[in-house]
Amino acid sequence: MSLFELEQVTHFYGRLCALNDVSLRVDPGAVGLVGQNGAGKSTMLKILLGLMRPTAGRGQVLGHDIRKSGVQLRARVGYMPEVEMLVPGLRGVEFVALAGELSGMPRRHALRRAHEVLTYLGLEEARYRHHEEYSVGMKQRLKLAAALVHDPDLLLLDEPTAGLDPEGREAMLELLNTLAVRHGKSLILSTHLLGDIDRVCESVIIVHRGTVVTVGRIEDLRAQYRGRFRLQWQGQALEFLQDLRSEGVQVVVDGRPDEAIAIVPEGWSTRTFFALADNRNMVLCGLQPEMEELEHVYHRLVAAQSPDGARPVIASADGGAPDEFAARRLDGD
Amino acid sequence: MTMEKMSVMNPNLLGTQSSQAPAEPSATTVPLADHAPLVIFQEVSKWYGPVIGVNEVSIELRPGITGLLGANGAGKTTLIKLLAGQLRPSLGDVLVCGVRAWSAAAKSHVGFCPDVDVFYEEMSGRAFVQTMARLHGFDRRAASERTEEVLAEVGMSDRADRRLRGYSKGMRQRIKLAQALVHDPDIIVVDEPLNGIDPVGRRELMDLFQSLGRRGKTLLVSSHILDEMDTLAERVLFMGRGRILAAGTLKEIRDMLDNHPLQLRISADRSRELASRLVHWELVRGIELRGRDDLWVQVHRPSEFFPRFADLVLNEGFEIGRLQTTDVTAGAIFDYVMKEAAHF
Amino acid sequence: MAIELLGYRSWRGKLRAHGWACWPIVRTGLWIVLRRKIFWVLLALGLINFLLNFAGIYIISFLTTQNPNIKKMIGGFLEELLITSGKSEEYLDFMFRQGTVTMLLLAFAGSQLIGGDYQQGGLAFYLSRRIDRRHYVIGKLLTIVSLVLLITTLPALALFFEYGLLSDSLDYLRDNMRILVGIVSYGLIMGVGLSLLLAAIAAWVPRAVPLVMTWACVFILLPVVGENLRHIHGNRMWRLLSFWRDLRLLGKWCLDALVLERDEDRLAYWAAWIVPAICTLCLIAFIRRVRAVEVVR
Repeated sequence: MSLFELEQVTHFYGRLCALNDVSLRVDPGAVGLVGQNGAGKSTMLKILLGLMRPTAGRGQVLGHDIRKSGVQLRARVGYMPEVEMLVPGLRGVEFVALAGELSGMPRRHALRRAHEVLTYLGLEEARYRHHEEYSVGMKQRLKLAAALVHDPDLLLLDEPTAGLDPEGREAMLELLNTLAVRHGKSLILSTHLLGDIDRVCESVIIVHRGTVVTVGRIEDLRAQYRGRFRLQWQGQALEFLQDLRSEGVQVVVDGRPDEAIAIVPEGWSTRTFFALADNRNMVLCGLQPEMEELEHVYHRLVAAQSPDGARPVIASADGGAPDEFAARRLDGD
Repeated sequence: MTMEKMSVMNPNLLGTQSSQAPAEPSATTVPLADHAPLVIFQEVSKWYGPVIGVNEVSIELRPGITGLLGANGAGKTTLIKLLAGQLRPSLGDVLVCGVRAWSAAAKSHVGFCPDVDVFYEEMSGRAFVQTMARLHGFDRRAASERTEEVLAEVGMSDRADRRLRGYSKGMRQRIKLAQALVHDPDIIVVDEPLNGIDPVGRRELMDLFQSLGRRGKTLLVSSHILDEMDTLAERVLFMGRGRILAAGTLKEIRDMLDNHPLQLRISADRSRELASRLVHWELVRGIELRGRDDLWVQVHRPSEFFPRFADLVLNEGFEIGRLQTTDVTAGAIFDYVMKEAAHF
Repeated sequence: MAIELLGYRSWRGKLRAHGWACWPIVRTGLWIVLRRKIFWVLLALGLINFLLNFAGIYIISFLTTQNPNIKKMIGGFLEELLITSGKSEEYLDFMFRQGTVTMLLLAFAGSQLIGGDYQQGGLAFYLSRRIDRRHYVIGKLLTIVSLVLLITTLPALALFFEYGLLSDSLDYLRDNMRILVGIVSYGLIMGVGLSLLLAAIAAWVPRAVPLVMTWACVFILLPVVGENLRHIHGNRMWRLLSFWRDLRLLGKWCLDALVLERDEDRLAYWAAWIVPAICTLCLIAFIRRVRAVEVVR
């Protein structure tokens, strides 16, 4: 069974088009969702949560129809929003237990499970404190706990590492990785940080101006650079680089000091790098096969979409929230 | 030499030409680094009631980009606010271009882009930036010219007429940056500038920062996204518990962490045989086999290791697929510094 | 068996029916209001009123057994304050006073209870669970209704039964079923009216101070305006501007305590149209505010 499918989904806020004829089929696993603000990401998330019926089109998430079965859908989906979720006066464990109860769990089960999930996420000591007192990192984990309490099959995460310091970010990504790999949860990770997606997700969906530009495995999207290496050295390199060129290697200097990219012909042995360096009394301290950075993938695929100079007819680039008035005219659900 | 001692003994390490750095003059020697420091913190401490924010910090900032890294609660925001003149130090002095940061005169030298935003939601972005320009003392014509220039720099020229209420997070960030730049300050302080900005925008704004650095501005950028700090910041400041733990370029700081041998990732056609050769070397502290062909090797004295390694490769005919230093990144160094700082 | 330690475990239990979700919302809502010590002051006022009445009824019935003429000796002023003779007007007054306390309480509680959901992301929390918009709406409204009932109706019922049980015979209870029904009806009318009004106002004006000001406009400004217009035009109908008064009129009708000399039956007739109309508008306004846009920005 696929994770979710969307068929020709289109959504308008008043006259503003947020999604334009999107058709997708995604298999279970960890998926990244990238795009500019206003490109349709949040609209897609709302539709996937069954909170909003698209103006046109059909779809299903985990087998539940997005138009008709929104409520049942949310029993199997956990959502971790970017915004703060606060219900005043509750302690951490009470908050998560409330989340469980609202997902249909009987009260005692919800409470027991809340304790368990909070312990798993490292909030064991803080769970009896009022959650208004939590630090940023703790609040993020609390949101994740509320999303996990009813053991969903799919987690929708909106900027899960926002506001976290490097240690916290690393911990959160590690946690998400474990959930995805070891416990078989599917994730949809919506974020601007491509580093996060690289770390956690196997596939990625790129949305731009209301259309899905790309969906696919990250590995497959990365351009296969055969015979392309990044070299780093210590010492003077000019003659070394000239030697390389004379051997038929294309050398590209990209501005970083003591570094260059070498594009080698067929049948090249990396030993030759060392030999040539040795000839010139130079020491190589780095040799890596070049792989396309996810960032470059994104640029490449997105830049192909926007024709120069053309003003977008549909949603404005990085268009911000749709007009308040327009948003109110078409409520979902 | 521990981190702590380093920071007390060498407050001027930032921006000092690499007299103490290993013998590799950088291709991009920055002459700007010879300028007198524009920002000086002289043993500055600040506390709020009983809570201490910053504890005897002495640093100097010179033109170029300096990254400010640290855990949440380490005192970064306090440091930034002291620099921007929003807080007065409880002890010590903060000098900006020779005047106290707290004074009104200093404000014209500093552009501040905070991480929170509080705007007049009813204004348009353009009007907001223009108002900020007027508040800095520009007359109406100069203000609107500067506004247009700065909006073009941050990429908001065509979108700045809508009311701020309807802006996405990324657009708000750009307007914040615009108002920090509008009076062309020499010192620009940004706290989490790329929050909420999509990947393309991040690249654009990072390029903007780099061009500002090249133009001779002094930038202090505080961010948690360490891989971006890698490319962006020439020098970094690590903060923890209100103190400066380390200051310098990433390479310099890495070199100082001699408790942590350099971590290399090597892959070769005959990895295990290579491992068996390397394990005999004194320079090699540890070898770990991961995956099929990956060796993770910890070495002392890298400047001796690499030539020996090259000789080994040539003599024994290994086909090396990868030779990579994995821990001169801001991320790895951050971990090491935090660990080091915990020892006393 | 794999070693589990403190790892993640899955949960596949049976879920309850959807409707049950309203109860946690109500329970949480009541907790949000009742946990704040400031509200205890207002609750204390209501409690004092109740206890005075409770004690008063008991004492009077006790003294009456000693001296049957005691009731005549009780000064007129006590009749204003307490329930002395079990007439429906007295219950009306009691509930009206309790209602005023509740109305004050809701003014301040509104921003915590409903406004907070818009400002602090509570709405995102509720709507992203396995519930529909209607569960949220019903849950919140029920919270306020229960609060109102708790403060006005339950004490009134307690006093009613106390009076009946302590009176000479149980005939009082049988003869005055009308009052029982009236108490419950008035309670419900007040509950529904106040809850819809608060929900609509708090959803659109979530912050505490503007909310209190708006509430004050509805409950203080409009009645004053109405009263002045009545003076100017001499037309009693202007009094209907006051929502609170309209509710009271409907209560009077329920409890059969309309004062016909003051034209109150005609006013009550109009009130019976105005109150539902306002309630419907409030309901629509509230529902409009509960939308998916709040959940994912």
